[in-house]
Amino acid sequence: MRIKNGFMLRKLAGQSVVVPLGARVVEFNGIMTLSESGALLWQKLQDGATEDELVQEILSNYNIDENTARTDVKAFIESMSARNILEL
Amino acid sequence: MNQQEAILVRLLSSAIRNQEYCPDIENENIDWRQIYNEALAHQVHTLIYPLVSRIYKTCGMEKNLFASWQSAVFFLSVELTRNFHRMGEVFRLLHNEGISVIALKGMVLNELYPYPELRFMSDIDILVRADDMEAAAVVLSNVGYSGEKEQGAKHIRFQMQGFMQIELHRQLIEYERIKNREHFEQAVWKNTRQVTIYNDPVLAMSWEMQFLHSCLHLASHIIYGGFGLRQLCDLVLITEMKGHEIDWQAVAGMSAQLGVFKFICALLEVCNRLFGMKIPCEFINEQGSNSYYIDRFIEDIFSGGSFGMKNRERFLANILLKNSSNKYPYENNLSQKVELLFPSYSQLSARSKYSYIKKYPVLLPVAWLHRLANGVTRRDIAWTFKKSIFEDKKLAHMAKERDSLLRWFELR
Repeated sequence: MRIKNGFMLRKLAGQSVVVPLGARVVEFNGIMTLSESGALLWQKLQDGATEDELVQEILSNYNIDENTARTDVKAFIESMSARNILEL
Repeated sequence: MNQQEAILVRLLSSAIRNQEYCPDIENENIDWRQIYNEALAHQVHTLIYPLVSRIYKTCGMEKNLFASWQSAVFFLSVELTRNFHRMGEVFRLLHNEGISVIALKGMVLNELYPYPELRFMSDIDILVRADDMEAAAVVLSNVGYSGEKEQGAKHIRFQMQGFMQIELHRQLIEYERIKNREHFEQAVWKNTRQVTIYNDPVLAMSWEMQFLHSCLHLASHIIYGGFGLRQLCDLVLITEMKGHEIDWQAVAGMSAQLGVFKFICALLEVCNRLFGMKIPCEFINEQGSNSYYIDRFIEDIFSGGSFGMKNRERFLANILLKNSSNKYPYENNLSQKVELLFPSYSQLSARSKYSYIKKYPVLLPVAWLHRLANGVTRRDIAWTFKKSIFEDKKLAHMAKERDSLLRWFELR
């Protein structure tokens, strides 16, 4: 899976924020801010990544167990899919 | 300046310099809602947000207020980011057509701010040479913008759903009173620097020209309505961050030629009083400084907010001021009413809407009727307010006060 074209992540007022571009504005309402780990996953998803690769990315950057990492990654993917940002 | 305004200035002064500042919660009796509203009126709520976000938990601010503040900031910064991204593409297309473009105002001034994405902008201004105006308009139309050209206008406004309005200018100074405008316009094109907007190159004015243009822009704003703290922040940052690149003696000379030297001296004195900015010695006007008028200038800035639109009375007083010539005292009701209804040829011909009388002066009575019809049908002012322009003595007094300030600046 990967981030669809027409979205970019920018640091705005010190916070990572998803910015829809061009026609994406119409389908993307509201503001989506990402935590530090969310921003990390976003970077990985820009080039395309599997769920396992995302879990590994979290494990190599944070001192947490695999179950917690997987739960967080699943929640992240779900929220991104619900916003129609991911190409599965 | 009241206590809350003073606190706002202190917050702003620290925020634009990326310095920490924590108001004295115990002694300052801070009304955060009032500060937010004041900051909003001056379009600086976004600039102070990073500072506020660091102290809000301990400074006694309501959670709801902070949430709306945060939301306003994110919406604006996303909007600006999207538009800047789009403009990168527009600049590339204009460049491909061989059209030189100078990005104006917020598009280039934002780089001076610690958080460029938080410098408020309501539209995008770009300058092209007069000969390139039509070709540039075609490029903008091809990417989906639609233009509204007024007869004789020196700029065209382009709209596109979901994006900020673009103002395409062929001329920088539209205010007739500024002297030697042509010389300035030519100097701007001779003194450019290259900047990039999302990796796409575009021209910007040299910092000397940028400083002068910002001041000239404020001169026209104070005449037609007013300006707020946001515009002062630009000047403070140009002076402090780029002052070493500026030949201040040359700028002072040019400002004298343009007839705005006294106004710029006053502007910089206000920046000094409010933000502690050091005034370049070339602009310290020892003979011309007058504490009384500087105090009134500061009051004018606070009472008007950004573009002098903070409250209805100020807005109406500006209409009165705009439509009154120098001939009659504002208290002279009858002459003032006559003048309001039937402005002189010179006043009316200066407005693009009625500029057809330049070509056909005999059409002046038609222009009066045209203007009356516009006045009666304009929807942004309720009928009761339209009536009050003719009846309310307080408005006449406000207009008179502003008139004397403008005269002191030598702008009227």
